[in-house]
Amino acid sequence: MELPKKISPDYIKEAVIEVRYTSQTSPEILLGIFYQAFDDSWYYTNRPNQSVTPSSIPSFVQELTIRVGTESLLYNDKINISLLQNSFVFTCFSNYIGWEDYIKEIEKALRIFESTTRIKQWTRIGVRYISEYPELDLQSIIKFNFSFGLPEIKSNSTSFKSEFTYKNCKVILNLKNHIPILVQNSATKNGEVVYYSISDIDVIADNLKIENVDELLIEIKECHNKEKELFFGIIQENFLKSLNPQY
Amino acid sequence: MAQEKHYEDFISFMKNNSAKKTLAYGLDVEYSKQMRKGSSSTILRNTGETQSVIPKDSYSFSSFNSTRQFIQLEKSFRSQIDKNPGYFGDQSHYILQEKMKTSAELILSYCPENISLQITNEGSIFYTFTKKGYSIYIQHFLIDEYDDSDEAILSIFRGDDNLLNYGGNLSSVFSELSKFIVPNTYTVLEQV
Repeated sequence: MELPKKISPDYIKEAVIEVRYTSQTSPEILLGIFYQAFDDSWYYTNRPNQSVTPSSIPSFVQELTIRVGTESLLYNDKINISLLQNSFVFTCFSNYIGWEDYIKEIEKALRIFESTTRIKQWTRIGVRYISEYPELDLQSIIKFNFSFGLPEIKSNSTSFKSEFTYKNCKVILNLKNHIPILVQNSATKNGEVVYYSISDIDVIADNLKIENVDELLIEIKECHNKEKELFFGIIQENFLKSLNPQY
Repeated sequence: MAQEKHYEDFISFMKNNSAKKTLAYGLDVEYSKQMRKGSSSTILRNTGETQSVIPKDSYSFSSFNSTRQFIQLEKSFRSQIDKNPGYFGDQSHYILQEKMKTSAELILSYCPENISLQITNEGSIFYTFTKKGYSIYIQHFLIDEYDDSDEAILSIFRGDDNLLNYGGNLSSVFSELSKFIVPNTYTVLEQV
């Protein structure tokens, strides 16, 4: 099956790439080394470590929230990087910028990380795309049908999750159909219910032993290809046509 | 248009009460009356959830969106400070940024749907955010005059109805906000 290079509209809400690594340097020292390696076209920030527990919250709705440590972030005008312990998580700064531009920025960042010579091995890749479809029925988008022991019953909303192996990668597939979501109407400023459908495909390549960024990038692109194969494989053909695919 | 009206009401509140912006006080009599009338709170029971719709933040992979919102706020703040260096007197940019991160993070813990900030020539950050049909405005004053904690003013609207105006230190302002929205959860404390 030929995979489109671009679709419009893409309905992509999040495009998350995570790469995990091992290092012999402690995480707190690595943070400083990575910070020094990035030039002024990147900005560093961290999110404060605080929790909000006002006493006015009734006890039956209180939830325990713990954040251990701050979240360290690097960003430019196209992508954000969360610097976690032994992991980098890439997301787009604003809307999805397209794969070509996205992987270019990720490659730039990975080469900077590699230049510090502190990364011993790259061990895992995750590629996760989440698409959001307001006011669309998932069955008109995806080849998906859900029924159970009472076929005469039609679900008002459905959540479906499956984990499976696809071409040596672990895949986590989440589908949600016709979920009522409370949003604010931008014109009236009042809350209103909008029905959303969601497709969330997470492709994970684990147990890797990659020692250079060139090989890592090949694997990332492979995972992205598998992501596309799965997405375009389950999408309805009529819906695909409506997305103006470019090949 | 609605936002302009909200801001006019907000400013009118400030003028009518002839309070210096650094004076800590609360003005939520009307809100308290409404709460005492018998506001209902939606809770999750063991069978049959009373909440039939899901707030957007609880499904929208909020950790990614929260990080994005945080970065965009910080970038906007930095850009506005660079264009208006005199707004905050001689305070160092580093301290201003750290203060901004404190209030931004507090607001983000409420998982706002949309959020923006504007710095003002009064030495404050004016946040505007929306949540479950509420429009919420928080003005965080970064004036370095007192040793006490930063002060802020909170204003909450639903549509064109001004539900609450409150001034106090940052902590008390967020305590008031929590009477409407519970942070880090999708539970709503609804008013009748």
